[in-house]
Amino acid sequence: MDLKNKGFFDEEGLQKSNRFPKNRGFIISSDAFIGLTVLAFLILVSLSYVAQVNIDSWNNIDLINSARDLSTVLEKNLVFENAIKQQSSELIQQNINESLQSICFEARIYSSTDLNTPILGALKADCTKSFSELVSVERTIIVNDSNVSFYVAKMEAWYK
Amino acid sequence: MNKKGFLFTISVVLFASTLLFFSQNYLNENIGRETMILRSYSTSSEPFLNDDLSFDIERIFDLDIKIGYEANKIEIIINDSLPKQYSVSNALTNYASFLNNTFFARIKGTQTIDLTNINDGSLEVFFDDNFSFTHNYDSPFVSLTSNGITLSSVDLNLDYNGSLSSYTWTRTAGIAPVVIRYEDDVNSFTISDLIDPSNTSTLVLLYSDSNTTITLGDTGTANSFKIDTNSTKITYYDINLTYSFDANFLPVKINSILSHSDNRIDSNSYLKILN
Repeated sequence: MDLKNKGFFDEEGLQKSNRFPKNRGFIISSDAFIGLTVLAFLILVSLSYVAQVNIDSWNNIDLINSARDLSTVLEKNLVFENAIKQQSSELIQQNINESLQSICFEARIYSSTDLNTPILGALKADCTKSFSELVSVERTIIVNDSNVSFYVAKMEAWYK
Repeated sequence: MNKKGFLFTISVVLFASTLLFFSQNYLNENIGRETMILRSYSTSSEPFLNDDLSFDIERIFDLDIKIGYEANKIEIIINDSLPKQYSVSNALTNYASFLNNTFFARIKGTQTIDLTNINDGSLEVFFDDNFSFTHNYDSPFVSLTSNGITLSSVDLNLDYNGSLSSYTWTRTAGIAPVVIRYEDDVNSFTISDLIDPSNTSTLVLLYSDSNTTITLGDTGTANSFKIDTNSTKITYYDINLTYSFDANFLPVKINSILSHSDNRIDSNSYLKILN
């Protein structure tokens, strides 16, 4: 029997598989498509996990530490107390202008009798109140000037 | 050919699964660390508040305490005045009211402060177990008592809002150098001497209607100092006491307890001037 003429061998005598001869390409394409889809899905899920990693809390801690440090320094160097005695924000302004370049600060002083209306305030130069993360810390301030009075210093901080 | 394809498929599935596994773990690890950091960070609220309040107490008393550390000796530096020209007791009562009614409500967690130990007429400050400082504002005197640590030198500056009539300096000779500089509205003098810190040396300042006594060395306890006055006019003083004491860490605490509780934290600690 002439197998070549029966279609089992090609011109070079190699055996042809003629099982599903018309569907073969479609099956391979479907298989690859499904495989690639599954792979892409797994990669996307993986990326979604990685994207959920949030480092904002670390940044917030840096901001809180910076605000705490600056408010502590201004209190212990008597900047807040002297500013209240002089009724002027200039001392506070000078000091916060010399703080960390990458962070904006705003300091406000409130009398203990009215914590809604600041009596003094200073916003760091070249800063605007535009932020995605804001932290705020408060310290009590004592003014000892023939009698003792109490104030609250509020320091807000955000990244430039 | 089929085996190769199968192996390739398995490899890709394994790779993708590993990627998924590691990214999920990375996320969980990060969430865990973030939680841990935030939780541990909340412990920093108490020291910040403690530092704030202890500085307030210093300001209410217009008191400044510092410590300098050198090889085999420490310097205790106190800047203070007596008697106070305002009611310290009223100031402390108002301060406690301000904290409890206004300020603590603005802070996360629950806080209480017990100022009764310093609102009893006397502020006590402990330098670990080694020294204690007392500022009595009812019957004005200040003292620093040493717990057996040798006083090696004293440098005292006095500034009185009045006029001195006369003074007497009585000392027990020793090897500890003492320099006292006195100044008032009219007079000034300096004493430079060597004293025995185990015995009593005394400077009495006589005014027209009152007197001030400064005791160095044995004030009832050796190696200590005390200023006692019955004058109503204010005396500012700053004193630098050097002790033979090998330390590079001496916590300084006010005899007043701050209680703080917040998110698994429950602390009761003395107000700390220096950690």
